[in-house]
Amino acid sequence: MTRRPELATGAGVVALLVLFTALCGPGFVLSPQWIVQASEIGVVAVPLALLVIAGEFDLSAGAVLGAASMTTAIAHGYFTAPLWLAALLALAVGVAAGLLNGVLTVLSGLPSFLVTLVSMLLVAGATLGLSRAITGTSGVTMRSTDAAVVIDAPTVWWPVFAGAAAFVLSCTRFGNWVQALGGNREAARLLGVPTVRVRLVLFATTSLAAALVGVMQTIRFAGADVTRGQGFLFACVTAVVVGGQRSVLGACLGSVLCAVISAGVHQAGWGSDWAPLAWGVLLALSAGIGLASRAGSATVSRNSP
Amino acid sequence: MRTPVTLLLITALAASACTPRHQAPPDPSAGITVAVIAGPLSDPFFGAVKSGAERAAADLRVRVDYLAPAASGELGAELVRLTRSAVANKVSAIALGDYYPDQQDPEIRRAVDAGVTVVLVNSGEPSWQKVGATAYVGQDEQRVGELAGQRMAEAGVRRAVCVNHVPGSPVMAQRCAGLRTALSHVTEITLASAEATNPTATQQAISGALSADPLVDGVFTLGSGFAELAMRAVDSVKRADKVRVATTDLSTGVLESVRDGKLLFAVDQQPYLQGYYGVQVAVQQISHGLRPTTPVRTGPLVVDRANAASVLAHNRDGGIRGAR
Repeated sequence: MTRRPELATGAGVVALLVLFTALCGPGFVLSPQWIVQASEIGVVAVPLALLVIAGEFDLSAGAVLGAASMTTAIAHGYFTAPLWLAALLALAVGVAAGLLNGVLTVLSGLPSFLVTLVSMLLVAGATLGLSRAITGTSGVTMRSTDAAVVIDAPTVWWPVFAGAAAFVLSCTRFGNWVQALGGNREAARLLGVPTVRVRLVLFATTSLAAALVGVMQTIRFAGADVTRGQGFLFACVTAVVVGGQRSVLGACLGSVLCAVISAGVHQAGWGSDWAPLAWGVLLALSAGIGLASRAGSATVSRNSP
Repeated sequence: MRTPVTLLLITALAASACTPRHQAPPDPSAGITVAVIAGPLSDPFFGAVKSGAERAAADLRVRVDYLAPAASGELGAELVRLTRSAVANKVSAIALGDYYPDQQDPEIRRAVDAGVTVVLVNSGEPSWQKVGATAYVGQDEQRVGELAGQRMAEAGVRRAVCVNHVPGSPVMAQRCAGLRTALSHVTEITLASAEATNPTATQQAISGALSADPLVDGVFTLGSGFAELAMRAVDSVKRADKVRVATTDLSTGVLESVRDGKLLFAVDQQPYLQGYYGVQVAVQQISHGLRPTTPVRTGPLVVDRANAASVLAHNRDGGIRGAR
């Protein structure tokens, strides 16, 4: 338990599922409303976890989600581009934002927390300004979309991202580099790890994932507005931290935990007045578990796949 | 480098704002600057307020500055700061929304005392006379909820959920309170800001509230985006035949849903007119001392199946009604 913090998260997930099933009936696990939300958080939390394992951070994911949403909506709903082109453009915006994060972090040598805070403001500000300049408004409705199911499938994308990330982290040289970077960047560089390339790839993947969620939400909800994604980053960071900041499995369990709490609080009819309190209690618990596990695993190797 | 620019700005401001008070210019509205202080432009609703104010400025040949707090900031405190800086910049008039009366009213009174013409727009019906404003342009928020409740009751709704996406805002609370006077049973769900900006979480919150109470047969949302999410939530719990959805504020999606009968109705407050009339009233007061004697009400205007198509036609004219 203390060596694998994700096991503590897993136990938390099971306990919550039991609790909410008892309160709301078997439908809570059998026909889960929370699975789509868990998948969307998971798609971003998985690459974000790799980034965190490599010792970096990304605060701009929410703003990138908003930028990709508006790119899709403006390209498809306003300029009537075909959906695949709009989606590709939005994903390109995501990759570009991620590369910008990576290049700025590498060049400036500043903590990525600060760099991505700046890029969050830049991206969100540019989204608002450009949206109003181009369309005159900050909310754009999509044209009707029938052939959109292929892209809008979070429950498929999540396992794909998680499987690929788990494989890369535990079975490839790139995965070793990621872990080495998180251990000691200078030592990793001296050992021949291409630190710049690894970080660029991780930043780009995280932003690409955020952009993908933005595209999916824009298709599913037939439009976008510039405030999209402001609250999303919070859930992703929570998922990564609660999951132990060490493994893909932990991030996935953290994503389920966040979505289950979010859904359960409403389905149990407690009223959303209690939702923020539940988030706070959850974070406090995870911090406690993390402290306990660090104390217990002082002699265990830092990263487990 | 900075000093000449600042000097230029000060000179320009002084020239544009102060001249008409000391001389008797031929055109009484020349040199008037109106600061419009309302909500963030990330909300398409306020984009329409700004468009209306700018149209009025062009028609009346005055200058308008639109100022708004950041979407995620401390709204009340920031509105107070914006009001103070507008007065410091010596604008001739301020048209602003009084969203948090407890925090904003003292500062608005100070602006009036400093000789600035103040018009409350969009929010402030209860306090416009108290603070010494020239007029109020907007709607009676309590009446919006009452009207919506009556229309929902006529459609057979007995037990409704009121979805409040700005917890702590008196405006939203008044709308839900109005709904409560017309319907026998209303529960209110509030969305934390992390939920309100995430459509997946919002949809889930609404479907959760529907699952928690199987007898609910109506949902009233307080923003156009939330109406579209509420319709999806109703579909996701397979109660589209039982639960009717209605909303305040418009978007293309909302109008199309009303036209197609999927949405019961949408209550519009015509934000473009609030911006337009707000500037208009301020300019008439400064130029000629003329003012309306009662609140100027731009809403509630109910858009239902009968008039949705015609409203939709005008919505194409660049964000006049809010979102595209």
